[in-house]
Amino acid sequence: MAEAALEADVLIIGAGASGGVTARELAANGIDVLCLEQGEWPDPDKFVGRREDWEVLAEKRWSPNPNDRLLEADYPINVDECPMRPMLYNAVGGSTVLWTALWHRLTPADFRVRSMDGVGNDWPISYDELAPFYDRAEADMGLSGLDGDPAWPDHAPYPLPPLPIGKLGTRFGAAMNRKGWHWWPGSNAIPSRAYKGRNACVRRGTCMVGCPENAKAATNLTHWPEAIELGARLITGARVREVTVDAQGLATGAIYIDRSGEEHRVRANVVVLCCNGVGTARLMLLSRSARFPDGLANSSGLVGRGLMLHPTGSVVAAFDEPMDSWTGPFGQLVYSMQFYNSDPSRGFVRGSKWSLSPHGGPLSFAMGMGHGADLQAGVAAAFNRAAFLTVFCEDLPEDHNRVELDEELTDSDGLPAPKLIYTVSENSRKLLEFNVARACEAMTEMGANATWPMVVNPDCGGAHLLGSARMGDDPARSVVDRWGRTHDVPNLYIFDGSIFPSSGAVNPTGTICALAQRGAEQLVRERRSQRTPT
Amino acid sequence: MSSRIPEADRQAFAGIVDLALPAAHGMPAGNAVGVAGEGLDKLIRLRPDIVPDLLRGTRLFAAAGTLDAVEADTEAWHAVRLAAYGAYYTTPPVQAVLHYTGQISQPIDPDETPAYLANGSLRQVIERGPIWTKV
Repeated sequence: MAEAALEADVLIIGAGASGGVTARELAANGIDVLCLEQGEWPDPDKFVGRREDWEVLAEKRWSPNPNDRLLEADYPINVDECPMRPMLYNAVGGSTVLWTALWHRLTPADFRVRSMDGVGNDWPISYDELAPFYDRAEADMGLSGLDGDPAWPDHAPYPLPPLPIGKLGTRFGAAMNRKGWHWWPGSNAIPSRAYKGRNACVRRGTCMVGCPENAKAATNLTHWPEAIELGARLITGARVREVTVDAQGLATGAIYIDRSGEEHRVRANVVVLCCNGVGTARLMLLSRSARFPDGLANSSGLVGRGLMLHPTGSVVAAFDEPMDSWTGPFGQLVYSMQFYNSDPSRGFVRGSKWSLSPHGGPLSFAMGMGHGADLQAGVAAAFNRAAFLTVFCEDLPEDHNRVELDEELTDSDGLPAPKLIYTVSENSRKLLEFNVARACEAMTEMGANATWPMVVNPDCGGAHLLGSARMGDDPARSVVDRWGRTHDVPNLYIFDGSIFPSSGAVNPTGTICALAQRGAEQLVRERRSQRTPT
Repeated sequence: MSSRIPEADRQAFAGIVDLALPAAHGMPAGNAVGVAGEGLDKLIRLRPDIVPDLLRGTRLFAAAGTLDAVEADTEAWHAVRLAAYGAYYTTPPVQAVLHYTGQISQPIDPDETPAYLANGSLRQVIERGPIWTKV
């Protein structure tokens, strides 16, 4: 191990969405921040979205699935007992580098799932408490959207006007009107005009392999440059193998491995985990010690448990006329909250959000079909004439769904890889069956001449990694308190999607950013009373 | 790089392409646009990682003479389709038939009033009032 330890007031582990938000807020308040990130800075010049062969590269180097990419910065994930394919990206900016930038707030009822439906967990905070931090996050990320959606309480205006909804969105809206169902132009963290140093979206439609236009919000663009200008330090290629603790049970920093294999120690007064819903639980379970033999801050036994992955259904629908189906953003054109509210008379609780998107390029379209004359007929008839509708399902927190350490699989540094053990619940399956059937009805109303429904689409689910170190007031039933501070270790915080007590059915990055902003502001306020190692 | 694909495997791949990408429904045959020639070479330059699975697929096909044997091997089937389709859909003749321009820049005018506001189609949603649940 390198002899001289680095020191920082606050050590952040992970430079993605929550890590970027946290670093900038702390640095802006004069706090000495150091962040360790196992990936590197993304190089926009290497993004492949402007290349004609982009789709061929999209499923390997630029896949959202680390088990496909297999880069040195990635850790493999054992999914032998998980029907979903987890999606994440290890780099400065984290998964926001490859995300499709769909953005929503949770609704007020999402914070009261247990009280309203007798399932899952209530949040210890309310929508109203989080609302100001959504406002801030939306301003920082540069949201493009239309104000006034009746599916949410009134809130601060979006900073940018909505992106075009295209032929598909227009036709969807007309069909939903005929059915009397809710729809609304898409809200996306993709700027419709130049915004805070980023360019306007040009609808290239390759958001999911890294935006080559320097447009889509990603914290390597929206937060990290400012954080570093304010004094935050960021070390890339730094894989943390353990959060260290002292005899009093306080976090003292971390040990990381650099890309040459050398170990380094960082000493810090406060440690903030921002490694996503899989990586944070993995690191806590790796950080076993005499004081914490079951993993760090795991007296509840809930570290890793309650994993939620947002199982996702989909419907592809084909139409008789060209629909500009490869035009971006990709990104949602429109969405619907018609079936978001819980209605137990349907045979399940909780609800779903639908998003309508273009279908992408011809290779991914064809790979979803067969071969031979059937393939040629399908592509000739439906390419550029199709829509892709995604049904996001509220996933309930079930403790048997979990992150564990694999006993054999390791990363490139020999550290145990995470293993996901996850089943799609009966409630989720019923919810998806109902919604996919309704979505087919909507597509038919749009004039579709064919639909291809999939109740559980493993290629879509797994993008949202939530709940594996949940927030709550009761230390026996949660890992962190209302501020993201672990109940067991008073100077260890978690600000990523791990702390969601319930998942809602909307894309979670807005809530992750809002929670990180709120937690970081609280850290600043309470810094003088913060307990730290001596 | 083409030497990474032995001639026998290239011929088997061409046989797969004959069946997987025939001339049909206005689409040209894969082998008429060079999928098993330059197209294959281009693909394995881009994705050398698929070569082992691809060669397993070509040999399964050579032995059985049908696609069924390749389809039974999920990874091999994926590799041969990725190579064949990846080469096929990036050729100009195929893109022309599909009227596919590639992922081009299409700037927007953010100040343009959207049709759904101008024609009132969104008004119906607004007039139904709030649908979020108060707690």
